[in-house]
Amino acid sequence: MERLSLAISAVLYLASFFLRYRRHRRLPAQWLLIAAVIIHSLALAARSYTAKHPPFTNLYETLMLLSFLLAVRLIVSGRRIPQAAMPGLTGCAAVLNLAAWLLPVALRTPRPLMPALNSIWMAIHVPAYFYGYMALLFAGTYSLLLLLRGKPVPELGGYIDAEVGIAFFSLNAGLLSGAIWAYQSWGNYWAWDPKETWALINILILGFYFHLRRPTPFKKALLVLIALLSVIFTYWGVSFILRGLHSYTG
Amino acid sequence: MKTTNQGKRTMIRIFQVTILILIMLLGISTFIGQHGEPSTGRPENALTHWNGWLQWDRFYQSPVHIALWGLLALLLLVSVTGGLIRRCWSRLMHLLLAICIILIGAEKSLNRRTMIAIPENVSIRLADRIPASGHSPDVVLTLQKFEIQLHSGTRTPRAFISHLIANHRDTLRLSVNHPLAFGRFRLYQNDFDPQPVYDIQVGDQPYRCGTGDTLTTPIGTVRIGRSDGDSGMITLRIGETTHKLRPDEPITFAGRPVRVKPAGYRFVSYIEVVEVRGIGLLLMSSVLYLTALGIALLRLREQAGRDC
Repeated sequence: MERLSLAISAVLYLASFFLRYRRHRRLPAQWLLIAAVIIHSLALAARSYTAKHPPFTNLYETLMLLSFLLAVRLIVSGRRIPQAAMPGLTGCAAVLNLAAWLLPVALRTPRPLMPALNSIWMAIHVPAYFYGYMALLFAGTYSLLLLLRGKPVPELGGYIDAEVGIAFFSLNAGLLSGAIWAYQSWGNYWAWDPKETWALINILILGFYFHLRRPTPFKKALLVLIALLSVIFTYWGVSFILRGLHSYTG
Repeated sequence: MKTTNQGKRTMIRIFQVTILILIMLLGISTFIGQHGEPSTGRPENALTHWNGWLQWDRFYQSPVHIALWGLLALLLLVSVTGGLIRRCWSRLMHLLLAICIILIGAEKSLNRRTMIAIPENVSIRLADRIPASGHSPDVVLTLQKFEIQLHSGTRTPRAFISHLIANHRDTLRLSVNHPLAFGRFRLYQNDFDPQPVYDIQVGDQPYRCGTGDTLTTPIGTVRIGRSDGDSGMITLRIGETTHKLRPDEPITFAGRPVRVKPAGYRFVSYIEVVEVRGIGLLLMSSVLYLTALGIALLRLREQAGRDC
């Protein structure tokens, strides 16, 4: 059920992407996206039922979550998103969903939660971070568009600012909720674990974004892409290369 | 006005340089194993043995790292008090962030943590294990039982629970995510260890003790040391003399036969005792910072909308 729903939703995301990319009529692409999200939510529900916990605990589940958040945002804020970015963002949702579907069995086998993860804080900490990652994916897509066009598009600069604002707030909320959770679990809200340190680095990069001297759209776009690379390293690189207290996220 | 703008530009430049150095140093530090870190942590690499004046293996406690955060807090305070930030919520957010950084620094340096080990069926007086502070709680804790609850049908632990008795009357449960509070002190379930237990026969008198326990017997104080895993030899210390003997091998001491044999295992629960200082203030400041940040970002967005 879970795998089938995930595969169908991935195909629907891809179909929506191609319709948008070929600049066909917008409406069918949007309906395909809505259908994909409904089926995707079934996959998430099935995963929660099988794993007996919210789907926030490993790479497979978080990839599903990230693509879901991205697709929901595409539907909810559809009219407020620049149409030129829609194919790229829909493509992102499709790629993330496909990546989850293609992960080897060892990485997607549901495992019971270890004692420290049995906490209500998981339901706040993980979605807060992934909402931030999703906003940064939006900002990254806008930045790429801006850089590829090669000429300043003031309108896109405003969109990037808005998404970076959301990402900055979400990452701060994720960090704070994680600190409270760690304090409740171990009596120590900060342990300089590699994942924690990279989460702080991401916030510092975004903090730098808000303190640019003479900010130009080009500078902003470049910094967003650096922040996105840092987030990708935090999400995947740290889990596989550095390990630490958050190693279960791999 | 010109001076303010120039000041603002200088502050932003210093802020940018500080942030860049912090990002770079923090990024590098994650690839270097830190002092006191468990061996299961970061993999060995070329950087692991590379050290220098930055004290890479203790980077987070190094003066350079602390100074950079101090400078950041100072910059935030100066920009707030010097009127370099005009928007009200933005000013409040920067002020709260500076307060958070200062409070974290103070809390981390004042913070006192003590790890205590309590074997099953052993009582300890908490005040004896915590370095004197004048606030140590007068509590006697007995670990009645250490329990590992498993997820049904698996061998994966669901909870690690220390069943404690406080002052020989109150039953308490201490587990991960559910700390206990005694006045200013919080107790956290940190770790556990299975430890071998031995039956000791001194003459006709039987005793049971674990590694490290001290028994008072008619032949003096008796203590079991670590057993040699390969040869199975047990180290028995009677008074000042040390004996190495095989399980159930009799020896005579002070005219009495003494025998020692393994009698299974008992759990030792490792409990972290943390003296809480200013954590409420830090929590309040950080929640307020997050609120101010949210409002400041919303205002910024509204402003950008109006400008468009």
